[in-house]
Amino acid sequence: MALKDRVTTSLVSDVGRARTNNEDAVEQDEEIGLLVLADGMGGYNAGEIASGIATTTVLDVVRRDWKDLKRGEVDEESGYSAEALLLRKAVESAHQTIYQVAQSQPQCAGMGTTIVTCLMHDDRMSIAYVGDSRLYRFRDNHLEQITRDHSLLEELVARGHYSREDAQRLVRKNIVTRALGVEPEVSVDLIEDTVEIGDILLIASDGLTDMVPDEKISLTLAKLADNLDSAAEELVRLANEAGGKDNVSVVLARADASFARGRRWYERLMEWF
Amino acid sequence: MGKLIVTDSTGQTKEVPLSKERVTIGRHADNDIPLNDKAVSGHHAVVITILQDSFLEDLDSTNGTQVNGKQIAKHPLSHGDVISIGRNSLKYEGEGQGGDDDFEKTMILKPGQFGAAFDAQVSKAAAPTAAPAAAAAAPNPMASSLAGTNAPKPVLGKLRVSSGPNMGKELELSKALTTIGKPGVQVAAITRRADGYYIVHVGGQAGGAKPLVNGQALDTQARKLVSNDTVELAGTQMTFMIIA
Repeated sequence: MALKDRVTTSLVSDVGRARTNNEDAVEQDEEIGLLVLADGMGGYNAGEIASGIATTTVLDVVRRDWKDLKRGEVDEESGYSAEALLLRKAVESAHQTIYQVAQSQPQCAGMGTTIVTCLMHDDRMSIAYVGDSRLYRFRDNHLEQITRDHSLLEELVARGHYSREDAQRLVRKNIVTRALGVEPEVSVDLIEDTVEIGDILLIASDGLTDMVPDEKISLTLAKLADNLDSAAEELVRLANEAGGKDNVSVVLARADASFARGRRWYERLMEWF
Repeated sequence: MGKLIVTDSTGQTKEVPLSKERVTIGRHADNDIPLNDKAVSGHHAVVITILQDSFLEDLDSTNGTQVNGKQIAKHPLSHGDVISIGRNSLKYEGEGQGGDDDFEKTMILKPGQFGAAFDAQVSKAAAPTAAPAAAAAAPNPMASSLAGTNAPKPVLGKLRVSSGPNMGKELELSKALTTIGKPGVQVAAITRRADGYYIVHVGGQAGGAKPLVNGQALDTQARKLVSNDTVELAGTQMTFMIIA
């Protein structure tokens, strides 16, 4: 059974109600289990160019290297799987391209993009991300934010300057501290976590998460867990109903069956104690 | 750019634009806003400005700093706030008030827009008020730099077995995802994220005993580990510790 028969996905990107163009981009490769979302920024059409380059490059790099990848192997030095390191390489490659275009094309100067990319493999997920687009995991009716925004708000909370509640009230949400294509170098965060049968992964741009509170997202996923297309459409509708001030993008993926290679990975574990 | 309308103890008024990242207030002449008033400490307070937002911080002054009549240690300024320091008042006037447009336009804060001074300042200001739990979770707030490298070094944790034949044995949690336990009995996964380690029970549908953290059974949700948490798995006890 191929991965795409075990994981159901749904991708929607909507211009929203206030903008005239959509600077978000969403892509997937169902064979590999790769999901990508980018939220571009920059004048004229530059934001679209940045997010478009980001998703295309990530897909290209991962597809190119996928065949020869030593899957499941963990790098001793960094502690990350080959899959996670490939995602980082792909995101860095996208960054380089966007940066070069931004430097050489005057109409693209200053463009940038966020990115969240996720590879589902072996009942796990490897995530690489930069910026304030998010990945959540919905498990047993509970929505958990897995990524931490690279935003001023998060940085101030992390340093104890504010409680999360105060920061959400007082600090502007729209200042990102990292993005692809802006500086010569970019630092990509990697996360690896488990995926269980029934889990729904949600990747979203801030057009959803700034407009719709987490509780409402959670209720929507609970209600429409069996129909991801309806769930994705409903989330977009809620964001638009709340004002739709930004482009809204939603990527959903549900694990319908184990997608472990061979036996489930934890049945193959070596005992260490 | 925001500004402060300073009215000193003699009733004299002047306007100070918040054009620098740090604008200091105090009795000494080396301050950006010197206040000749014995009730004011030498270096009394500072206003830090990031893009359009300004933050006021008291620098452990003797007589304290008030905003709108309330004692503050740290305070994000909003338009119309009145700061009282000694017998002086400073009114904050923000720029671009009510700009709902700000909402949608994402801005990128480039490294360097925060100076090192801001970093040190924020860390210092955060330290004394941090709750014990926060202090444990963030062993060294100074280590993570908001600017420049802008990638805080992830924490490193370990598990030490504290019961059974392997007592004293340690497992460094250097992987992004570490699995522990006896296959078919109990398995837990520990994942490393930017802000620390999380433990989750996997393969939970099999039923049976669940791993315990500090005596509490883990459910299917990830739980954050803090130093000295006890993890019990398949009859073996372990202690979690942050190394660096």
